[in-house]
Amino acid sequence: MPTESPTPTHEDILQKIAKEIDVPPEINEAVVARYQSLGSWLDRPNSTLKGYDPYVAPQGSFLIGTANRPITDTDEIDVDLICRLNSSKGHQTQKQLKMAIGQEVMSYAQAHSMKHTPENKRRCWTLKYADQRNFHTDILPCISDVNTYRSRLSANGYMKLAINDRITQEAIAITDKTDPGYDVITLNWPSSNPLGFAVWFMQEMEDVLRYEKLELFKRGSPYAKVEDIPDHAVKTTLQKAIQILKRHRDLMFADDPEHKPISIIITTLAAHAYQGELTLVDSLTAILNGMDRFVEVVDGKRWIRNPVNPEENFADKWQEMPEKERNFYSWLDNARRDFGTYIRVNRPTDIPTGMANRLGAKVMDRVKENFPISKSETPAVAAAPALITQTSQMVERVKDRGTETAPWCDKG
Amino acid sequence: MSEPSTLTIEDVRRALGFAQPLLKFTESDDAIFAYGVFIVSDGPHPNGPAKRFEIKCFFFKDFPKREPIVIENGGVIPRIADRHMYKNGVCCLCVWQEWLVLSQDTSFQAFCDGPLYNFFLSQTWFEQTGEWPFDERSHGAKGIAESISQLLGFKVNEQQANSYAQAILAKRVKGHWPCPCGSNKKLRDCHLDEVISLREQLGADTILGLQSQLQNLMKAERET
Repeated sequence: MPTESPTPTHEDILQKIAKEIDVPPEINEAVVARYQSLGSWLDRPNSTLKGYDPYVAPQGSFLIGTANRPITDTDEIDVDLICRLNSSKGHQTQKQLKMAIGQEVMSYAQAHSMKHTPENKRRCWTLKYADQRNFHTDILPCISDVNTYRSRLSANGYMKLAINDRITQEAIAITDKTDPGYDVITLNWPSSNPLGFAVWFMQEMEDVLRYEKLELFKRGSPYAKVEDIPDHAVKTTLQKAIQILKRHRDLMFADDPEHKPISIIITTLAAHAYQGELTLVDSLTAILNGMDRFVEVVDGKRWIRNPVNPEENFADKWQEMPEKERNFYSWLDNARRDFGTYIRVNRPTDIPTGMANRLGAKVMDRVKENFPISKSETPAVAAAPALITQTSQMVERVKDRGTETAPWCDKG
Repeated sequence: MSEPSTLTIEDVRRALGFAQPLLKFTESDDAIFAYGVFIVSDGPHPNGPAKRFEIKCFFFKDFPKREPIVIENGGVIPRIADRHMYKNGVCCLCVWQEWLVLSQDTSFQAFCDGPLYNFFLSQTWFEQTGEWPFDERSHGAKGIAESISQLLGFKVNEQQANSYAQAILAKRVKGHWPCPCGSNKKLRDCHLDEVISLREQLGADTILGLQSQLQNLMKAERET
């Protein structure tokens, strides 16, 4: 039975949906416990990596607060980690770094009687947990690589980025089995900056993050000062909107997950289009209206720049696999129609069928526990007095914007 | 002046895909075609949109050079001039050249948020109250004269509007010309400043467009 207000707003329902899609605290705690346990293992007194000061940290959606609860309880939870050693490129080959870390990851798996042997993938080690939860962890071996990153940015003219220390200090050199220099001593390693991306993302919503922390503090929090509140203790409407859009994408491409639009593309474009809106209604409106404006065309090719490495195109596979590009635009079309219909056409408790299906029955059931929602396409029209108020408010908003235009006709 | 560019189906989807989720889009060589239900809504409302209209639109790819064609085909709006409708269901959204001149932004997005949305909002309000919320232009040549009045900042009739357009379009403005306002004074002693400032502000295309529309309508009106 619904337990909350019988007349919720669109915002109430969207906030509830966001809450139901979010990773529950127990999974979050398990993720933290697991990467900390791995980190401690690599740094234990008789670890072969002890002298390299190993550092294990999350990257990707768990780091930026956009990871979703798995669709079903048996679905895998993907966690991306980096494993950074204190070394430099000239001291070993990519392969040596990869194998050194691999050896300790193997011994971790053995010591914890894990069923699956860690797999040596192109850039990372994959560790599968098969206990209570289906965890799937990609561990990215790397070393810090600030100077190369910084000088490449300056050389390519990205000065503003090159002097953004918070971003550049996170740059890393990574290993890649397909790289020609994989097995030789060289200074020419593949480079990446997943933690710098997270810094960029947080900077894009800095004001709202501060606002949310202040709100949390006002409500009463265990922290002594607002400044003590960590980023992960609050969630902005940008993060929630991305979570909703990713879930919508996952279910839309449930039968064709291979070519679904990738999360980094949705995240980057959404962060660009987001202008600090404080509600989910306004955030989804801004993001869905504007996100594809940030897909550039360079030499006839679509470009979605990595904001912390503008020479990297997140859409680089679209050229050889046009279905990826088609899927992105057809997903965006569907998302616009589904959320546009909900926000602009339907009453708050009438969830469009397409939106309900693409957010999942389970999420809808949980929303139904609190609100009297149903799947519906055609809301009733309001009674005349209410309609006049509604229309006159719309007329006033046009006058406020100063975009009035008068109809005409060229035949008398 | 913005660079000439081609309106794409992506531009149309970006402007209308979310705001008008009940419209569908296809394209031909020279136009994007939109059809379905247009909702009069500017955001979430507990009761849903104020009104729905069945429409068909042709947005030409050389936008904003060619005025889009919007047709209300649900038969909800009476097809009479007083409702700013042609008999075939075509909607007279606005005096196109006037919008091009007066709007700060003449992008496709601004067209959707301006004349397109305003027309159906105006029709909804007119049905409820019998009034046009953002005023209306008179039919025919008189409406164009009103547009030119709006640009000039003072009221002129059709003949005066035509004379002003001529003065604005002339290669050189001569102070000894009779003032287009009909005062019998010389231009230099009357509305010279307005004429000069409009020459500077408006593109010749715009004034030419308005003037030829005005002259055609005046001719047609004289003949009937």
